[in-house]
Amino acid sequence: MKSLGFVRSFRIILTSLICLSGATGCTETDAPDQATQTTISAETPKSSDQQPAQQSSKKVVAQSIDRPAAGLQPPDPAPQFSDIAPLAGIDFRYFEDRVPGRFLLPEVMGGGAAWFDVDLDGWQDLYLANGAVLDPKPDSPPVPGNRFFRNRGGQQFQDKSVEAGSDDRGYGQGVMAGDYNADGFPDLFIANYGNDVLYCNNGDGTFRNVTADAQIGDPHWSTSGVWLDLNDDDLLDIYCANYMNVTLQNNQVCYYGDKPGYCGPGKYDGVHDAVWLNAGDGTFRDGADETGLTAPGSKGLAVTAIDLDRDLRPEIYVANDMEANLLFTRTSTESGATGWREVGQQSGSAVSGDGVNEASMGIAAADYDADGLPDLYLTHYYQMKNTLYRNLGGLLFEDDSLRTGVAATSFAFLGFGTIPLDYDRDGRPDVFVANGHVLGPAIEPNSMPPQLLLNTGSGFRDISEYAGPYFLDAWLGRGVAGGDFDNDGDTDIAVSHIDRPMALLRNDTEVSTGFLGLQLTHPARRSLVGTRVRVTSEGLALEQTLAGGGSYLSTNDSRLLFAVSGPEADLEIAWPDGTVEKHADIKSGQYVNLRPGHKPEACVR
Amino acid sequence: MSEHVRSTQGRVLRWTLWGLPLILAVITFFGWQKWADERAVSSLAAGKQYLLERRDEMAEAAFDRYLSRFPDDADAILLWAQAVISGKSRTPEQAATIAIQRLQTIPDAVKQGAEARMREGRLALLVLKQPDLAEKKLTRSLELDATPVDAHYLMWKLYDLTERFQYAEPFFWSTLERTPKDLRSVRLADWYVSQFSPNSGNAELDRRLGFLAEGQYNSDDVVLARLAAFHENEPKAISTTIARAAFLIHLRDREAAEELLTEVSKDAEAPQNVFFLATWIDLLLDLGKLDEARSWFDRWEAPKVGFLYHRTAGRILQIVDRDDRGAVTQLNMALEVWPGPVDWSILHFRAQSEARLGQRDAAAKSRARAKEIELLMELDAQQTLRRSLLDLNRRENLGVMAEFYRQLNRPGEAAAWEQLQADLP
Repeated sequence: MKSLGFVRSFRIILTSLICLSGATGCTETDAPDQATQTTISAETPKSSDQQPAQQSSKKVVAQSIDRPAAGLQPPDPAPQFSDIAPLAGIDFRYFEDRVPGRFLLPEVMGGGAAWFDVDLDGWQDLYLANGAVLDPKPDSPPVPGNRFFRNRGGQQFQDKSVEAGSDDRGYGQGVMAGDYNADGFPDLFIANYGNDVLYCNNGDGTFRNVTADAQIGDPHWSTSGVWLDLNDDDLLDIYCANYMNVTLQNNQVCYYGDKPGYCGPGKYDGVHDAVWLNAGDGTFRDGADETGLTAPGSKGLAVTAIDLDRDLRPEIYVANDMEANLLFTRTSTESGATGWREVGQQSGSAVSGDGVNEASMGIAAADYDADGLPDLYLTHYYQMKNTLYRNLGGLLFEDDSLRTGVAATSFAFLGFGTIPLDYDRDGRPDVFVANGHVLGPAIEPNSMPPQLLLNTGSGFRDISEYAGPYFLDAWLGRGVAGGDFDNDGDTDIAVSHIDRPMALLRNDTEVSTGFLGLQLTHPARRSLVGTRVRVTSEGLALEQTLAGGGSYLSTNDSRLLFAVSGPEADLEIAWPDGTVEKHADIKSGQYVNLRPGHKPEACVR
Repeated sequence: MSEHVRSTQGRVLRWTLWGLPLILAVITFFGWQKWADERAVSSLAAGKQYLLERRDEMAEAAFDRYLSRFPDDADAILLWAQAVISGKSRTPEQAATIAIQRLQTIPDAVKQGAEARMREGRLALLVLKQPDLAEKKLTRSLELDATPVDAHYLMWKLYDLTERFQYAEPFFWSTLERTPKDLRSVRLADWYVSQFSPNSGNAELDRRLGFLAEGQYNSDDVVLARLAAFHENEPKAISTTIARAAFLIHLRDREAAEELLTEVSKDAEAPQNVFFLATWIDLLLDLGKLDEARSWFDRWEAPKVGFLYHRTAGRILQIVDRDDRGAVTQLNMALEVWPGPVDWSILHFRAQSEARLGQRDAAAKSRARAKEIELLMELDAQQTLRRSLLDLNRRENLGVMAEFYRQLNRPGEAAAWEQLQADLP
């Protein structure tokens, strides 16, 4: 907390404290096995290495750049998203247990969503965190637990919440899918306001609660997290952000003018994040000190793991609410032991370009400027800008929000969940943002429309008005997960709201380019986060890095989607161990499973 | 009697008939003049006595009598104005208005001219709540005679009250130089509070201006009310419009600020007004209107010096032109001018350009220094300072303040606090 500053710009620090601040089943392809393996340097590439990506960017830009940057003309192609949740059999409304006059902060933070393929049938299933009664009494009405919807062929979902045994009744916040026991089936870590839960996937579409056996017993207010091998033992560990110490006992009510509302992060103490190291025997241990992943007093709401410096080893970026964001990168000692160190401040990604701790809620990491380096898009509080930390290489960032229009398109909104998606398949990641205020219904503005931001190549343009009826309505958007649930090669969006049912936004945009989807799996089920893939088709090269976590409280579809202009594409995959494989002439318009040292295999659709 | 005698007698008689009254008239006239002068002088003396006795209406009447005799007596006009302002028979605004009207009759050329302009400025600011008029008067007063402390102090406070903290520093120093030694600790404390806790720093003036009730703490609502009143009192003065817009930007109401500044941008004086140019260009950058921001920067007709210019130039070069070397140069110049040395945002801006230039170590140093300054602004650190201000007769408290300024690389303030330490008995 800062004192009153000497110039008005610094008062923002104080006044801001009133705010919250938040498949396998594969078969052989007919493509010849042209994989070759070489070892590449784990460094930022030389300029010649980056050239193809830059060229590709220019080429793609040329396809759609001939329109006014100011956005007077409709985007081409026009985005079209349809909310099909009820039609698809998804009837879910987050239970936040809002009690009039109580203003207990968890009531307005919402819940997350996760796309993952529970039974490896090639279709992304959907898991949704639900709230619970925060102050239960003997006569409190029963509340459904978390919900689990099985994807039946990309058209319909079946509610399997109870049958699957994964309907945790805690106050659900975040959902993280990851295969911690390396049996090939993704498991679930549920971050709660209260004790977290670990569900082990039985492989038959059901789960069992293994929290006690796993010795994961964090009672703090957990939010978002990521499964990752944090200590190089080839086992999936968990980094889970914790938010603040808010209880029924220390809860406070703040006044905005004469109206009571929820207090922001300035009123509560932050809680250190949780680091759970997988022992390999079904148990976990606290590993914050052991790994160097310490975040004392931070107020974490979102986490992503992504390779930001092209060394094929992911960094961990933590978005904190009104505290400096954290960037952890690998470090190694002379003895060869590896750990992590926090470099957020020196990297320029901890605070905004003018040095302000922003109220960070969600993260959408992608290479927005096609320079081969993933950038970080962060959602923030109402009337504060969202921020684009442009990756300069070498773990240096600049706040490029003003030049790119990210600031101008965000002042009127309070953003939560956010994902990158290439809605128009032009090769440039666009951005979806779920918005909605947190102070309560008595204080305007409250509900807000979501946003679809078109990446023009030089910046972002808000094209929400063209994207469909959902975008013209106002919501209290929270958790967002992107996934291609109908396997048609574009990203659909699950949005969890407060006060209203969740939305499943099917991307119905008509595009002329094709796609290639990639599912990366390791034979030994090791983490492949950090893998870098380049897809080249008809001279157009696009590159993506496999990330973990991101958005807000949610898990995105882990498959990589590429825009492909020709019928076939060449692949170059740099795996985290440094080996590089090349595969030529992979047929586009399909999902392909990629495993180190193996031929690509077409996935079942 | 001869004709000659008769003629002489006739002349005497005529002279007597005509001359004597004339002489009498002259004598009477001069006598009346003397009496009037004496009466006026006596009124002046009485007026002064009444003023001392706080019988302000009687003082005013007495000075009126004197001034009816000596309307150009500048000293008397000053006294009269004092009586008018102190009196209770008019509203403060009425009193200030007529006082200013009469003070204006004191020409610049007389030795009381500077004092008159200063008083006009003070009344305009503190009673009529017209800072633009006040600024003109105070500026003129300083041009005429920069020796007295009052105009310097009022200028400092005027800038604080109109969101122009960046301009206050020279007036703080000129005020301090003119402040008796035994009051310098108060001035230094005032300077610290005004710059690091502006709401607290302005609280007393806000109470005096009627925006803040006794016993209440200052708040953004109060500041906004003050700036709105300034703007409404002088709707055609662009400085009050800009001040209001600047504070709206601070409150993040960019839409309202843009509306106000758009109006100002149509004013022919706009390209000469540094405060406008800096505020407007900053807002345009926020709103993503980079071309418009660049265009306004090109129209900068004001002197290209000072914190606001160098800060704005640095941002334009960095964000619009992508000229990072130029940006670093400009930002370095901004860091040299108050409040540059303590404005950690400048260091963050510079770090971004340094990073883009591949100067990793320089960027890290800039960010580390920014963090050092930011930590000095933490509430705990500031509370320690505020506690020290509670007793300025304790050597260690003065030392705490000196150390704070040393850490900020502000040798001037540090030396001033150290001198206070040395002067303690």
